[in-house]
Amino acid sequence: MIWKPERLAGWGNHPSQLCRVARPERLRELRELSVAPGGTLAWRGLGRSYGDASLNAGDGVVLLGRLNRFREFDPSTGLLECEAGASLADIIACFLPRGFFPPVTPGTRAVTVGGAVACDVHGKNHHRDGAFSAHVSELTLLTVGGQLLRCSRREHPDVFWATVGGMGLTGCIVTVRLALQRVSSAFLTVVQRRTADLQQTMQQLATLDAEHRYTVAWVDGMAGGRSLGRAVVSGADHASGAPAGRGPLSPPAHRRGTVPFPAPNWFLSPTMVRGFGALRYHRSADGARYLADFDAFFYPLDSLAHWNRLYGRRGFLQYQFVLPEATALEGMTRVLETLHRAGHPPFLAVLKRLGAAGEGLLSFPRAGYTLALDLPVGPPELFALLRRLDEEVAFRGGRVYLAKDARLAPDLFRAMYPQLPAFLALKERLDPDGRLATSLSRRLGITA
Amino acid sequence: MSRGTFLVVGATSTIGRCVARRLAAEGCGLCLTGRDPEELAAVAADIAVRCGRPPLAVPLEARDFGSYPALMDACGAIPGGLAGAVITWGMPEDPLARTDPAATAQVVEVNLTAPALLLEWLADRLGPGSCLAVLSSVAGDRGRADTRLYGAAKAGLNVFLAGLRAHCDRRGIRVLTVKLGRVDTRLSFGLAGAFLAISPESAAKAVVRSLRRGRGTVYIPGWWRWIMLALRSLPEGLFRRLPR
Repeated sequence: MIWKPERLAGWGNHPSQLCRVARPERLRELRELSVAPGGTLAWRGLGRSYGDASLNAGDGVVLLGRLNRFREFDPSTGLLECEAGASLADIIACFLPRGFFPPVTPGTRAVTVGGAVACDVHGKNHHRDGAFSAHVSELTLLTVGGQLLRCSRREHPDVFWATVGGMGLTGCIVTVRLALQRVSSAFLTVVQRRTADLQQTMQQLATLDAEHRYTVAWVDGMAGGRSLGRAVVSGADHASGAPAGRGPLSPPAHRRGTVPFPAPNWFLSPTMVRGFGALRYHRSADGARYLADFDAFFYPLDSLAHWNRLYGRRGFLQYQFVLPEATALEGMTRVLETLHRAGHPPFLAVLKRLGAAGEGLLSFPRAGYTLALDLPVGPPELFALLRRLDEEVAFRGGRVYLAKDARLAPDLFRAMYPQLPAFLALKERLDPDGRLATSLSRRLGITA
Repeated sequence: MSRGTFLVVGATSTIGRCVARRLAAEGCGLCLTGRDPEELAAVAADIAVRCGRPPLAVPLEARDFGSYPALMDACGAIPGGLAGAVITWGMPEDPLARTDPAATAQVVEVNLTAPALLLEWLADRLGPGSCLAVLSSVAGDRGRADTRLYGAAKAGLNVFLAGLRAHCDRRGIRVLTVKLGRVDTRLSFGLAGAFLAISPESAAKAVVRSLRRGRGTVYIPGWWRWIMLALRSLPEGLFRRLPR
């Protein structure tokens, strides 16, 4: 296997670390690599986790995107078995024309199925359909011993629930069996409501959750004071038809732009951001109903390739946390106010109500509200500030999302993820020599 | 392009599987060969899921010349016959085994002997309007220190293909020499100059496009034609001194 040194970063471009990179193109190469002696190994798909979850500073990172073949599909049930390097984009391109769509999708389709399982990602339908793992019936895990372990809710359930949301630390996810959902149209009917403050936003989300499969709130992160948390809240469902003159399963092709190089660091200045947030808020009519194609509704940011470069070379942090229903309003008000007062208003803020938690030992989603904030990497004070916010979140019974994280401290991580001891026991059993590690796992004290 | 059935020889290589996916997406039938049975099954299953009909999969090792007739029999049984074939075989040289006769023979066999032999079998069986596309390399255009054996074998293949083209021309079979520049696969992973590499998907797209309407020698990406023209016209003394 060829290893080459390469500087890697997550989607947030912070941190960026020098790693050794290999890219198996055949299953045999992957097996050989997993048993070969040497340093520690981390798995990386399309590199869309934001922080250091797919990095391994100074050590091995294995790119899995070439192992991306579909293995089996049953059109009567929608069950798809594929290699873990297949992306949601591959799945949509191949199966949407046949009337199938991923059961759960994050805000980008440029993620691999393996990454979606390892991070147990959620989507705008979490309140109804749960996280990604709820639709995974089986997976095969390549352990460091070179053994292929088939795991499901019945077979090795302990390994299954440690691997789901397990950030790739239990082994390499090689294949996944996933239930696609049947859709009769590539379009969604969307309703939109504008809210005046955070309390209204949360109420509106709860109301729309009862009626719609997908809900989300784009919060105007720059609005403070009495308008703090004002938002455009959308509820959507798969449509049954399409706009006149279009086949229901043939959505329009969108022009895609790209950001060819990193913007200067001052580019996303608070003034720019304030203008953008207000524009978005005021341009959205309250009570609007419209038909959107899946691309525009689920993946608005995919239309601009490398949009993360807008934050410049310094990169950005995405701060995403969940708070239980009872403490969410107070906690989120505190978080937003603190950021405003410190002069770090978030550029992008997305609020979502989550349904019940799954069984993944390190899975992020739990019942309550989750808020995701984009913050340009700033001075050391920003990190100290975020540490204080972590304490708020932990104190109120919430947790920070590891797939987005680049900076959480081990003590607070342990407080946020109470099932960590069970995970560590399983990790010890599957990987006694500690071969599997990432920069994230070392930072959080999961591995040495 | 006719939507007939295409043979992809070496379908388990990264470019081979991308070519197969592309052809399947366009609605063509496929017959795939590969050396590694596990990989061949994986690629065949992928194609079956993507286009709804399973391809024919025939295990084939380039240097096992005796197994070619079995492949020809399998292809002969395809209803409507073959509309064309893409041969992706290729093997780089191991600089550490330059004095090993077996290693040297292997490079020459995989890059030259095997495709020449297989193409003779195929040319006898294809009908008018069909196309044979053979992946070669710009390395065959000029001798370089680090790829001297590989380049020599590919140069030999290029000459063979020009001859085969003349032979097949009257029978209405197009023979394409596809000279690939650097493609982002195992061969170029970790090498300097990776920024010149194109993705295997875009290489496959160009291969399929030339299957449809290419003639003679095709460079992928196209600008390699002008680079190689410039490099070929340099006097050897000067070429040797170019930075690598």
